[in-house]
This record gives sequence, structure tokens and C-alpha cells, in this order.
Amino acid sequence: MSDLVSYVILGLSRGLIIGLLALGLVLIYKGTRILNLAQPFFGLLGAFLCWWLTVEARFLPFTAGSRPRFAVAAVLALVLVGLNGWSLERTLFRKLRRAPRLVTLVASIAIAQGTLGIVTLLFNRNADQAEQVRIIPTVLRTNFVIGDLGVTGGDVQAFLLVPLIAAAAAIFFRVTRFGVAVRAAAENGESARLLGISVDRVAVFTWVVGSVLAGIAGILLSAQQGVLTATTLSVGFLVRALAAALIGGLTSLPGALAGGLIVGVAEAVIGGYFPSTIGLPETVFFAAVIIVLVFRPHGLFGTPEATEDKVAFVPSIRDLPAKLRESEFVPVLRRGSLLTVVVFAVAVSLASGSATNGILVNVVVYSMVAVSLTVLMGYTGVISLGHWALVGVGAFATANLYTKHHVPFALTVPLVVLIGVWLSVLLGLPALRIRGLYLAIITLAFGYAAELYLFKSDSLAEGQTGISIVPPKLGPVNLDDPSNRPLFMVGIVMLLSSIWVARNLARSGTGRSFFALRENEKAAATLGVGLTQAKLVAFGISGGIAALAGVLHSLNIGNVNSVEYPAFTSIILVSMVMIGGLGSLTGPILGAFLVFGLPFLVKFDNQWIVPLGTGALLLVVIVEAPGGVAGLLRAVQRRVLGRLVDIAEREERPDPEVPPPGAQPDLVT
Amino acid sequence: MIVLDGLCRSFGGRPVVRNVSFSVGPGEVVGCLGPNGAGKTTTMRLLLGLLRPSGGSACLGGPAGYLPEVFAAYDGLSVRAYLRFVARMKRLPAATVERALDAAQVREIADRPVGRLSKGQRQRVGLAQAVLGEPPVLVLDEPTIGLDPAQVVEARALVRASADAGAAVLVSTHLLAEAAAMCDRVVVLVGGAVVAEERPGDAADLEARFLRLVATAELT
Repeated sequence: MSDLVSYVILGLSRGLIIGLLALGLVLIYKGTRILNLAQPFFGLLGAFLCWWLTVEARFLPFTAGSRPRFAVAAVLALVLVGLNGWSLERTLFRKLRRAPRLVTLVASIAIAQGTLGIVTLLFNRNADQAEQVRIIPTVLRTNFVIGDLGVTGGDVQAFLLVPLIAAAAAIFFRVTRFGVAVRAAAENGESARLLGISVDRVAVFTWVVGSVLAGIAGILLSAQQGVLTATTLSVGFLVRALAAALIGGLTSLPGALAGGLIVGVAEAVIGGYFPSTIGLPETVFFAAVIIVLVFRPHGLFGTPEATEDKVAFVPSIRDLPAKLRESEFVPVLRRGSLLTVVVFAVAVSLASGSATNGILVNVVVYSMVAVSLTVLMGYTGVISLGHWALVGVGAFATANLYTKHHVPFALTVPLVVLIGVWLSVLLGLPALRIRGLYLAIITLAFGYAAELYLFKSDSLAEGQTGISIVPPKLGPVNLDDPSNRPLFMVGIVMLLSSIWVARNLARSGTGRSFFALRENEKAAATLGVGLTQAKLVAFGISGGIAALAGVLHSLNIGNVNSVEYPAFTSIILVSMVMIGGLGSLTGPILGAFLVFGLPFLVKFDNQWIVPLGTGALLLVVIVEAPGGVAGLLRAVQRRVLGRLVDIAEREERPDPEVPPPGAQPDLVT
Repeated sequence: MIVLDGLCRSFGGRPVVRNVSFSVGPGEVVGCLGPNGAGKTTTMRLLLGLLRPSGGSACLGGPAGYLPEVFAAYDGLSVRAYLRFVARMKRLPAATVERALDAAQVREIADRPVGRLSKGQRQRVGLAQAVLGEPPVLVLDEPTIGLDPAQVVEARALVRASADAGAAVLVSTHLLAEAAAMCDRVVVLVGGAVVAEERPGDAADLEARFLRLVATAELT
């Protein structure tokens, strides 16, 4: 028996589960045009519920851990996951039916974070729970060996169950009236409505079934892998499922399954033949997804999407009334508040110790990333789900140039920024052909490939150990000062200069062309905006700022290591910018403080509170206050300015009821 | 038959349809005329239940066939497959498809994908799906738009034939000659309200009356 056959069998059994996950993703996408990034986390929730009901729950019949108990538990867990999908559709996604795609994507990010937070809170709160070995029993206990490959009951389950589900889905969508209606509504909601198909019912159906499919995938996967941990289903499976869905065509249900098999087999074969190169399969997915999207945007089996919805979204923050806008207090207030914030930050830094200063430096790093994301997402409307990887590139470039190659620090910084610009432009090249959500998936795949391949490669990152970096002395400023204070001051300077760049960019002709293409690419092109040039410039500047943030981050963490740059952080960055208020520069910086500063400063940084809190906050912003923190700031600014202008006007013109002082002597006489 | 009773609808506080009442009896073709933005399409969507009225009610005497203003079909399907799909969704027997193919004269393009059709052919497919199953109520929004003169005559004949078979037909149009030739009665909407309901008479006369009506209604 050749190696190839055993790799293929292994890959198929994994690929079936990836395909199942992708099937749910595509189903929800077809039914509602929402790309549900929470899909693998629904699977995680299902698997954990199933495990708990099988092993821990006291109220269920049959002995804990037995097969009949598992059967009951699996059904119950799937019902719960389905209910979860149902309630999410009814409470949240129904409200977002007509929202731009970026908003629904971010909403699904919020749900992903919230679900992860709930799973962590319920099952992974403390060290005891984290170390617990969780085993979901397999229904089939057959174990046999093909060649030198052990096939477990978990594998056989996948081989039996997934094709069965696929066949049932095929029959449902081809034969039944409701199945046809779902497909019709997916393709053209308005036409379907004219025929009396309820779009609401279709949306509920796809969310429930999509969630249940994710739950089944989660249970099957943990049975196959033997143990269940909080990382069993995470960004890795999200990237695989998205790759499968894109390769198969984001709108094709059979394509999703076929894509899953392709991804599974490719991973097993590549991993089998090149076991020493870590992250190679992930890098190949990244390349494959780009190639498929550039040459066949609708995937191998899908059909081109007829409707091009609006993807970009910038909340409209109400402008100041004309009277206030002209007031000379506007620049005074702006400069005053900036100065106050900077002075306050410096004061806090001087008054506190090295730990707090370390956190503050991190806030500055994330604030710079927020500025970088604002340039790309806020100004041009291009979604990036891989920005943390650009920061990682900056950090690794710093470590390599400064520590390994002894390049002077003053030269390292501009070089790193140039590398960031260059790589980001390179990443932007597919953006010239690929748009919207598809591009977002590419950036996510980039982040994942960078985490697993680039940041673990021997040449760039010294393998898994990472590179230590000793912050330099810049004249009188010792960045290696144990108090972290000088580092924070330098960080503030870096942040202010990136804000200055972004601000001036927004006011320049280039910036205006960004806004034009964000609102409507075709209209912008007819006005003579060079789309190619504008997009690449946006990517370049954004990448440069991100790399600069990477310089600061590398100095702060001391040891530049792949662990610091997980792909999931990039997704949280988007939440951060959204909470701050997309499109504004000051808002997202406060978003950075709220998400990455506050919980750590008040020592309330449990593993679950941060994702759960961020997710909840994000949902509040999406549904109730799309302007985010920036919107609230604008309201404050409006009131303060209004008061100031009132006072000024009262002082300028004398009160008409009091007679002028010169007139009084006349009255006396 | 179709009965509209005091139908109202406003969008964001701005009334678009105001207290519209009229009826269409079986075998009758009623034209809905009015300048752009008069509320014709909104009235149709209200009476089909695609929009919720702010007040009043509409009553249809049976299942309705509807040709929307912008007719969007599933471009990948052939004309016949598309009509079969519509029949399935409306729970009609498959045999109705063949009758509709003949009625709307789309039999010769029955096997071509809807996405590849010309504007006039597409419009005829829209007519075909509206008359599918010979519904007792037909609501047609600008049915002859994009058709060439010969096709206009045929479409008119189709509408007339449906009415003669007992359907209540409501047609909206901008073309007064069209209304004069096709309708038993016309309802003129201006600013969301019915300003006249009368026999169309001949085309030239209708035009003069229409312009006068619109001018006076807009003055008040």
C-alpha cells in the first residue's frame, strides 16, 4: 500500500468534515448573503454541549459516556445549536437584512467572539477545566489498519454520515417545493417574494440548518480527533472551510462538499510528503484561493453572483451644524482635546510602573493598527481580516534586521516601513480583480498562512523559538529602560505621526479618490479616479503604518515569536475599529483602548470576558450606534461647541434691554 | 375582482398613496394612469400584499398574476424551466406552462435562457408568468414597455382575452393611446389620490383630459 493512498484516505475523512462546515457556510450565504465567520465556533459550541451532555449531565438517562447516552446528547446538542441559530436570525440578522455586507460580516465576527467567549466561560474558565481531557465517544468502535494507516471509528463515522447528509440535502433542494423555494430566494429574493416565498422563513431555515450542520461537523471532528479542546475548531477550520467554499464556489452546495474534499486531501498529501515544513498546506490554500478567485471568481462549481450589493460601509456621523462648523472654537477644541489626551497619557505613564506602561505601549501599537485599518477600511472600504499579520511582518523584519543583521536602528525603522509598504501592495494586487467579501477571505487566509508558515520558518523566525530583541538606546533615550516609559513616549510620537499622515491623506486629492471609490467604484472610475493606483496606494500606506506598529510591538514584547501573531487577532482588530467608529481617526484609537487596554489595566482580562465583552459591545454598536465611540464623541463636541458659541455671542453683543451706559445721565436730568 | 377601499400608505411620514378606492370587476380591464411618482406602482404593491398599507384595505377575488415594473427572473433558467418553477411555487399543474407559452407567444424561445433574451422577449416572459394558470386577477405594471408595435398589439390582445375569460385586470401605463385601446375604464392618480375615474374615450380626447386633470390637481 503506497503512502499516497493512505494520505488520500486520511485527507478524505478530514475533508468530509471540512466540507460539512463549508456546506453550512454556503447555505447561510446563499440564504441570507451573510458570510458567517462564526460557523466553526457554532461547531465548537455543539461539540462542547454534546460532550457535556454525554459525560457530565446528571439528568439524562443511560450511563454517562455510554453510546446510547451519546446518541441522546448529540441530538440535544444539535437542537440547542439549531435554537441558537434560530434566535440569532430572529434577533439580530433579520434587522441587518438590508445592511451593507461589511456590517453583516462584522456582526458575524461579534457572534464568533461571543460564542468563543461563552464556550470558554462554560468549559474553559480555569486551569482545571483547561487541563480536563474531554473525549466524545464514537458510535462506531471499529478500528482497522489499511497499510500503515489506522482508520478509527471516528473516520468511518465521517465516511458514512457526511455523504448521507449530502444526499439528503441534494434531494431536499432538488425535489421538495420548499427546497426549490430556498434556492430561488437565495438567488433573487425580490422575485421569490413575488411568488409568495417568505424570505424570512428561508432565512430562518438556512440559519437553523447551517448551525446544525456546523454542530454535526464539530461533533464528528472531535470524535475523529479523540479529544476536544477549545482550539479544536477555530480560525484554522474557518480558513479551511472558507477555502473549500471558495474553491467550490461560494454559491454552490455540492461545490462546498467537493471543495472540502479537495482541501482535506491536499492538506493530507502535502503534509504527508513534506512533514518538516510547518504551515506549507496553509500557504498552499492561500495561494490556491487567490488563483481560483483571480481566474475563476465563482469557483469550480459556482455560478457568478448576479447582484453586487454594497460592501463598503462607513457610519454617517452627523456633521456639525453650519453655524458651529465655522466657529473659531473648532480647531481650539480639537487641539485642546488632543493636547489634554497626550498630557494625560504621559502623566499616567509617569505615575505608573512598568507593567502599566507595557500595557500602554500595547494600546499605542493597537492604536496605530487602528489608524492603518482606517486608511484601508474606513477610507477605501476594502476589508482586511489579516492586518495583524502585517504587524507581525514588521516585528519580524525589525528582529531580523536589527538583531540578526545588526542594521543600525535608525536605518531599520525606515527599512521595515518600506517592507510593510511593499508586502501590503503585493497583498493588494489581488484586490484589483477580487472585491468585497472574497478579498476579506484572502486577507484572512494570508494572516493564517503568515502565522503558520512565515512566522515559523527557519530563515525568518528561527523556527518556533523566535528572535530576541534588545531595544536600542537612541541618544539620551534608552528604549530598554525597565520602566517602559521611554518606549511609550516614542510610541506616542510614532502614533501621532501616523495620525498626521492619515489625516493629511484624507484631505488630499488621493484621499478624496479613496472616498469616491469606496462609495461607488464605477462612478469613481467615470470621474477619472485610477482605481488600481488608488487601491494600491491605500494598501501601501496602510501596510507602512502597520509595519511601524510592528517595530514598536517587537520592542515591547522582547521576543518576536509566532505565538504573538495569531490570525484571530486580525479579526478582533476589525471589531476594535468598528467599536471605535469606522472612518474616524480618534474613535478607533479609543476602541483600541477599550478592547486592548481597559480590561488589562483593571485586571479584568479573563480569557472569556474579553471576547464576550468585545462581541457584546460590537453588537450594541452595530444595532444601536453605528457611529461607535466616534459618534458619541461628535455628540459631545457638538454640545460643548454649542455652549462655547453661545457664550461668545452673548459677550460680543450688549444686552438690548439694558440701556447703553452713555444714555443714563440723560434720564436723570 | 379587485376592490380597493380607502388604501393609504406613507413612507417616512410622506403620504404616497392617499385614500385610494376603486374596483375592477370580472371581465373588466381598468387602466391606472398618472404622472411619474403618482403612486401607481405603490398602489399595485399594496394591493398585492407586497407592502403593508398604513390604512384601508384591498381585496382580491382569487390568486393574482403580477407583472412587476422591473421584471427579474432567474437568468440561468430557460424560459420553460422558469415557468415550470413559477408553476411549482404557485402550486399549479405543469400543463399550465404550455398554455402560457402559447398565450404570451414565447414558445419559440422556450428553450433559451432568460438571461440571453432581448428586452421585449423578456417582457413577454414576464407576461407569460403573470397569466400562468389563468388567474382571476391580473395586475400588470407597464406591460407593453419595451415591446415592438406588433408585439404591443399581441400583448393587448392577450390582456383583452384574459378579461374576456373572466379575469379582473388592472394595468398601469404611461401611454394614453395604450390605455384608450385596451381599457374599459381608467383611474387617474395624481399625488397619490384618485382624481378621476371614467371611460377612456378616444386617444386624443383622453390626452387632453389627462393633461387638464393633472394640471388642475397639481394646482390645488
